[in-house]
Amino acid sequence: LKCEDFDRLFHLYYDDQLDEAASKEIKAHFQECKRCSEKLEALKSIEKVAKDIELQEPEEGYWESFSQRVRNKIVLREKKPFGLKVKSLFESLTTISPSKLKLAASLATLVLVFIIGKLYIDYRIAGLEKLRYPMSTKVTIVPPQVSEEKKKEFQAEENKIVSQKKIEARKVEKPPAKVEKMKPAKEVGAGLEREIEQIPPAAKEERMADMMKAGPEVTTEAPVNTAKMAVAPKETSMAKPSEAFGIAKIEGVTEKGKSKTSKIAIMAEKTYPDTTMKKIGYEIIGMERVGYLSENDTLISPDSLKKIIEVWKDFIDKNPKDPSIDEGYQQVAIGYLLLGKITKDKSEIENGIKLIEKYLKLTKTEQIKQLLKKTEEELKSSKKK
Amino acid sequence: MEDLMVESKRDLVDSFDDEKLIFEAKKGNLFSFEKLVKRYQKKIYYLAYRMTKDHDAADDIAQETFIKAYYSLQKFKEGYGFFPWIYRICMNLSINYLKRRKFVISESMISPQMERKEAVGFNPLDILIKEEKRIKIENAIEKLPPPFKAVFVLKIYEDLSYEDIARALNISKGTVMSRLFRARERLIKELRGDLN
Repeated sequence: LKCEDFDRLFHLYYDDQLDEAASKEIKAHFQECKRCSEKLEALKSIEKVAKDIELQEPEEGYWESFSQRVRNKIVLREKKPFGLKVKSLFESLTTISPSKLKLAASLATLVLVFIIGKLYIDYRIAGLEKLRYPMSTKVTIVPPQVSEEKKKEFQAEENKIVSQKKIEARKVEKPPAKVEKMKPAKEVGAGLEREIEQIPPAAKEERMADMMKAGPEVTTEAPVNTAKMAVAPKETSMAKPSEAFGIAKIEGVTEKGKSKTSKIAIMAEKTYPDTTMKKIGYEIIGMERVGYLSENDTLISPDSLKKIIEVWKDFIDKNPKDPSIDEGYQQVAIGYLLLGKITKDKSEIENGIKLIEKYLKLTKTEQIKQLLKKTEEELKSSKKK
Repeated sequence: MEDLMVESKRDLVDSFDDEKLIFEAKKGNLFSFEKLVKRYQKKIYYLAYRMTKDHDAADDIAQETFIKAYYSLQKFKEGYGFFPWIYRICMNLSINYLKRRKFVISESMISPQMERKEAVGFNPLDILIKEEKRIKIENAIEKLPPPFKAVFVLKIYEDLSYEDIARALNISKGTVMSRLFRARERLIKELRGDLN
C-alpha cells in the first residue's frame, strides 16, 4: 500500500467503513510509515479535542421559555395582518443573500453584454455608413442672383458672339473664328461658384435662361447639413449628350460637428443640342456619390471599392489632362491596396500592380510617383503573402 | 375550571410519543406541538450553536426550525422520524445563515470558556496549552466551508452514520464521504504543526 492509497482510505478506516482485508492493509501501512501514522494520530487528536469542546449553557430560564416563545411566534404569524405580510415579503426581497447577489450579477452581466453589443453594432453600421456617405451633407446649389444690368451685359456679349458666328457661317471659305472664352459664372452670380472654361454659346444661352427660371435653391437627395459646391465640369460638347466627368468639392459638417471637405467624382451636367436644360444639377455616377478613399478605410465592402475604382479609372481614361488626375491615380492605387487587403484576391492585386505601373509612367508629379511606388510595393508584398 | 382542563390536556399530551403528538399537531393542537418542541429544543439549539458558534444566531435558528416544522407538518410523512426531519430543517437554516454571514472569527467568541476552565484547578501551564489547542481546533472548524462543516458536525457531535448524514442534508452518501474527507484533510493540514 502506498501513502497515496492511505490518504484516500484512512478516514474510511477511522470511521470503520472498510472491510477486514483493507483494514489490515491500512493497519500494516501506518505501523511501518511514520508519516501516515502521524496523520492518523493527528486526525484522532483533532476529533477528540473537538468532541470534548464544551458548549456554553444559555442563561437561566432560557429552556423554560423556549417552547413558549416558539408558540407565541406561531400564533403571531397566524394573526399577522396583510400589511405586515407584504412588509416581510418586501424585506425578504430587499435583503442581500448570496443567491440574490449571483442573480443580480448575472442580470447585470447580461445587460452589459447587450449594451456593449448594441454599441459595437451601431459603431460598425456607422462606420459603413460613413464610408458610403462620408459627409452626410446636403448639397445645395444656389442659382445666381443676376442683376438686370449684368443680365443685359451678358446678353449683349452673347449676341455679339452669335452674330459673329453667323457671319462666319456665311463666309464658308474662311476658317471658323475662335470661340471666345466666356466670363466665368462666378463673375455673373456670386451664389454659384463654378468655373466654366469652354462652353458653346447656345448652351450658355440655354443655361442662362434656365438659371433665371430656377427657384432659389435646388437640392439633391443627400440629407442633413448644408454645403457649398464648387464644380469644374470638363469638355462639354454640343454634338451629342456629354457624360464628361468632373470633381466636386463638398464642404460640410460631419455628424460629429467637425467641418470637413470632401471630393466626389461626378458627371458634368448633361447638355442636349435641341432642348433647353431643364435642370441645373449634377448627376453622380451610378446615381451614387463616391467616397474619397483613405488607406484606413478597411471596413468598406469589396463591391463599393470596385465601383469607386471603376469610377476613377473611367475618369482618368476620359480626362487624361485634368488637373485632378493625380488624385485619380492615388485613389485607384489606394482602392486596389484596400481591395487586396480585404479580398486577398491575387488577380485583383495583379490588376492593381499593372495599373499602378501604367500610372507611374503617366504621372509627372514626384509626390504621386513616390506614393504609387509605395503602394505598388505594398501590393507586391501582399501578393507574396 | 378552564385551567384545570388545560392542565389535564397537557398531562395527557406528555405521555404521547412523537407520532401521536404530530398527529395531534397536524389537527392544530399547539400543546402537542409545544411538547415536541420541548423534547428536541436542546438538541436543535446545540446543533445550530455548533454550526454558528453564536448564541443569538443559534436561538433564532432553533426557533425558526420549529416554526418552519409547524407550518410544514402537513408535508411530514409518518414513519420517517420527526427528529431527522427537523435536523434537516435546522441544518439548512444554519448553512444558509453561515453563507449569509460575513465571517469574523474573534477570539472573544471562545475566550469565556477558557476563563471558566481555569477555575478547575489543574496545572495552569497544561491548561493553557490544552486551551490554546482547543481554540485553534475550534477556529479551524469554524473556517470550514458551511457544507463541509455541516457534514463534520453531524459526524463528530451527533455521531450519525454516512447514510443518516446524507438523509439529513439531502445529499448522496458519496457526497457525504467526499465532504467529510475534504473537511478532515483541511483540518489536518491546518493543525498538524500545532498538534505536534
